[in-house]
Amino acid sequence: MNVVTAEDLPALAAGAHLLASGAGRTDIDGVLHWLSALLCERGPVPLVQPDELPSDTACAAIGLVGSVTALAELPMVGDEPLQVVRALEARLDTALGAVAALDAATVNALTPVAAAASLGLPLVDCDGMGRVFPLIHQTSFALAGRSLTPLAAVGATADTLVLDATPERAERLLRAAVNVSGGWMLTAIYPTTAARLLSAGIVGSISRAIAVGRALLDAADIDDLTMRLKALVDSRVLGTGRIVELEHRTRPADIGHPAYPSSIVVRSRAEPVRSIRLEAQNELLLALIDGAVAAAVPDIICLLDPQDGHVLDVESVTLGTEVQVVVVPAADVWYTPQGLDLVGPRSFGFPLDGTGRQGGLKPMFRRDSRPRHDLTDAVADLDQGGKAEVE
Amino acid sequence: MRIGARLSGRVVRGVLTDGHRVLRQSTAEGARALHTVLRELGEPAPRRVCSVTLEVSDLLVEAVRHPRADLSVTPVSVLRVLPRTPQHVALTDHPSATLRSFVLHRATVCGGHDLFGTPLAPLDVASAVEAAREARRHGLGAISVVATGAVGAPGHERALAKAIQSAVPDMRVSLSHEVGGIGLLVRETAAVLNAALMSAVGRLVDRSQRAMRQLGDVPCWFATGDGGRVSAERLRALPVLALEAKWATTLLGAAVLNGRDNATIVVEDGATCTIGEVRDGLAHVAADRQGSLGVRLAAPQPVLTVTGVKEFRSWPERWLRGSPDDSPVIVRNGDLDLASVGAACCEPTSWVDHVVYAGSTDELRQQQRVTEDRARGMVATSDVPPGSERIVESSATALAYVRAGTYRLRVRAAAGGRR
Repeated sequence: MNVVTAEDLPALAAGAHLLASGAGRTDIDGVLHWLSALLCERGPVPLVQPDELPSDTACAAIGLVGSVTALAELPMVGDEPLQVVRALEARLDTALGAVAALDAATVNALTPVAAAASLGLPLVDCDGMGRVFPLIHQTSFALAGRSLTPLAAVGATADTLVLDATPERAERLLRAAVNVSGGWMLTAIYPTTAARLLSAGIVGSISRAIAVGRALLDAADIDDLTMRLKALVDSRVLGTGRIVELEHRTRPADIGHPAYPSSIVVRSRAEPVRSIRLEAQNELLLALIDGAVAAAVPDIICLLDPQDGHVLDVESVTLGTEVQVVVVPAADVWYTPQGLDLVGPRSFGFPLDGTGRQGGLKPMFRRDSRPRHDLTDAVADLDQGGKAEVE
Repeated sequence: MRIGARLSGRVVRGVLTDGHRVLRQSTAEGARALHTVLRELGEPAPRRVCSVTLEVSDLLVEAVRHPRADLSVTPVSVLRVLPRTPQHVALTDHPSATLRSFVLHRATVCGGHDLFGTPLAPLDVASAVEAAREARRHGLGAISVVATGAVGAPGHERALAKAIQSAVPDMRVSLSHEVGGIGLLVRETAAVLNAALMSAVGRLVDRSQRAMRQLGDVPCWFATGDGGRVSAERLRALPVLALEAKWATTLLGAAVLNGRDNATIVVEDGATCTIGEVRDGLAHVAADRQGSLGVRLAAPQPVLTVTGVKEFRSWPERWLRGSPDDSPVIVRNGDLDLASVGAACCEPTSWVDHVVYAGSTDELRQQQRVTEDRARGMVATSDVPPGSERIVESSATALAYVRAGTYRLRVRAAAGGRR
């Protein structure tokens, strides 16, 4: 069994920022300060693999739904993790024995640690995305047939919501609540068991975020970082250059998705000069080099500062910002036909067929991985329906 | 003719400029150093000196790090306005130990707005007044009010300022929305630094204005971290604007002396190499960056890369990668103080950073135009020739995971055309 200590938090936050695919935000200093104090007071959080727990251990995923910018403006009060888990437990009439991450990216790599520390529970080393997607049903849990409801949500205003609904309606109802509750709510979602997490979760994602974060923090320079990321997660650099165009509403938007689309054009400086067009809507979804697709969701497309290797996010860049465009392969499950149906280019409105990893990319979770969710499991799980097992 | 001077420790360095030529320079040390430098530069000036701009960021950083009798920070109280009181001490505190060291009293009262300007909770004025009275009983003379959502909806901060000043008239109040920026903690940093430095900066401005009298009726400006300048009265209210001005003016000074509007500037100082950029005649700046105090600031400051001189010289292309031109300006330790040159040449600027909602592209463009007009208006009130205001940067970025149509707008305006 591993643990997450206060000393691990900077690396976890840095790795989670990269895995946010441009949707992160750097100023989560307040959350880090609080979480660090929490771990110093209560000790490290046990980080367990799903098969280290009794198979019937009740679990749920913890994650903030909404905007990290809103969180920077309206910080957490500190009781949200406890309140949200208690609300879900009351609905389920079952005490949770462990928590997992909804997505080990952005601040959502930290919120499950806060929940585990607040409740004295172990944290399961898995999540439902292996990166971040905009919709709460775009998870490997959903792909495996797990139901995201009942879910509980708590905001900084103490608004508490317990929701039973179909996944699509749950998304819309929760989004509406988030918008009137200050821009974010902490959720306890996808109630399940440890055994189900083993087959439905993306195992090893917390450890992987910490490892990626250590590469980001320890790299001597951008070239060292490039080598470290290549070795660790098989990343590749698409190009380095300056942002020369930043446009909004450049394509029709699905009203079910938060935020409107935007486009970024990077003009590379190396010869031959290339135009790298990035399509974003919350995250970076598509990269085209001189019009040809170079990477597409579910690939994790990231921006780095080419001088110091810091992760940049779409919200912070402006015309003239220098960026290095990097692509990290997503988890295996997203390159299956079912995975591509859920989170591939077409699901974001791009008339492209997802053909798996572009350019011979390898799986992100190829090393030290626990047994993987595969297509057979998914079909078997779907056959069983999406009922919450903890009930 | 203009004078630019940099105040650092007990030393003042200054230059007299005509256009972008340096006519004369002067350095003095001691209690009357500024007086001496202004006399040495002003008296022999062939024509009337039309402005003096002082760069004081070293003094402000010193005041925070190593307070001394004549220039020290004032302990402050912080009043946060949130819908609920944080349940853990780490969430009531500021993450920066530097900031915490001069916040001797804290309170949270109910109130605040969301990003869209909708009230989250009714404002508890009575508790705020009681917190201010309590801070006064602790011997504190300054309070920073930081309300969630205040950039888009400053009403709660203004209402509390009015109530506190009415109930505790000798309490100085700083408000977070006056500096702007998104994020409660970055605005708290600015508001606390403003409150803590207000008294020291007031004395500094008074001293500077006394030294200026010998030049007659010449306006006195202060250089800012975004490469612009503000009036003495604005600096008294918002001292935080002057932090990091040294590097903004150094970059500008190097560009001016080399006749460049766009350049990568490499400053070699001892074993350290600092690299920044000048774009369109202004230092390249960004908000939300950690400055020399090691704390993230909402106010914009220069984007710098720091490396060793040896590392830079062994592989300059690695550090200049992506720079806007192929021939950087490389400056080394010399007699001429670049920051003083930059201070003499800088012009008023403004910066607006806020969140808006726009349901369509046309509405977004309209919101941008309104924000640009506001930024131009801020420059226009800084005694610039009519019509000289220009928009330097105007960007809109869609905020992720909130209501579609929510954008962060950042607009930078400045006076004067390109050189």
